[in-house]
Amino acid sequence: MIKKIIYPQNYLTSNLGLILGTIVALVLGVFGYYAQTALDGVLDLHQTKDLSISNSMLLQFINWLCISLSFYAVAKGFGSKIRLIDITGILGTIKIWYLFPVLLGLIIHPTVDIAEIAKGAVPPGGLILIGLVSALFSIIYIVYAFMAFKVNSHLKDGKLVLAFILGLVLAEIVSKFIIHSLI
Amino acid sequence: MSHRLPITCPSCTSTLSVAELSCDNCHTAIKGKYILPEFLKLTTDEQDFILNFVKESGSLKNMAQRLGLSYPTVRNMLDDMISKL
Repeated sequence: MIKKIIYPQNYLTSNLGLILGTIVALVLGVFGYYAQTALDGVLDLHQTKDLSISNSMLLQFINWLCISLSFYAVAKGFGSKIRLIDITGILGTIKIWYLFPVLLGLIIHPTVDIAEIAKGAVPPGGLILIGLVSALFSIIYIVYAFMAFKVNSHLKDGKLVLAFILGLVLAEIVSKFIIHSLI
Repeated sequence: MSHRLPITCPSCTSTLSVAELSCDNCHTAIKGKYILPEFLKLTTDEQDFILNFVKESGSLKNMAQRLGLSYPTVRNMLDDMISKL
């Protein structure tokens, strides 16, 4: 069981991955709405004040689609035998790590006034804590995404690192563009 | 008791070849120099994998189910064996 949590990419079947990924996206969407935490980008997480439930849900699926397609496209470009169904399943499932900062946002629920913070006001302690926890779980997510990409693409050494960075940057840019166009 | 067939020289790690074959029934011995089959260059686990892969009609999906591993993990195992051979 511990091995399955540490190395999910070695054990997760594609169908189960898609089911778990969908559940994770729905759960993050619901909790994100109640915590007013917007996951606006494949790696981003922000406290907000006016996030609707539909937008919260939409954000999860845009991010999931963007990172899956970006990794798939970049890996294919490097000559990998990657399958879209496998990488989509595992990337959706490992997004569960973002549940921790979202839940923290739900518990602490800091009042956010971006205008005041932009003017130089000190952000509330709860917001700083969420920021630190978010950074930690973003790093964990990136590590898991790297392991998933490594197994799914079967690229090696420099090619692997380059393809992963390209895929991640592409996913972040495309997701930001879509989110700002739609929402 | 059957011993695991050594495939590399314990002294210099070069690939070994077959020097003698014998009949268990009449004890006839044939001496010569024969190259080891490619299949024997794989580890026992890898040979088992290939055997099960054939039994599963070459289906990686079935192999993944049999081993309780993900499809890409099993495909990577096969790719590594192909490059090894």
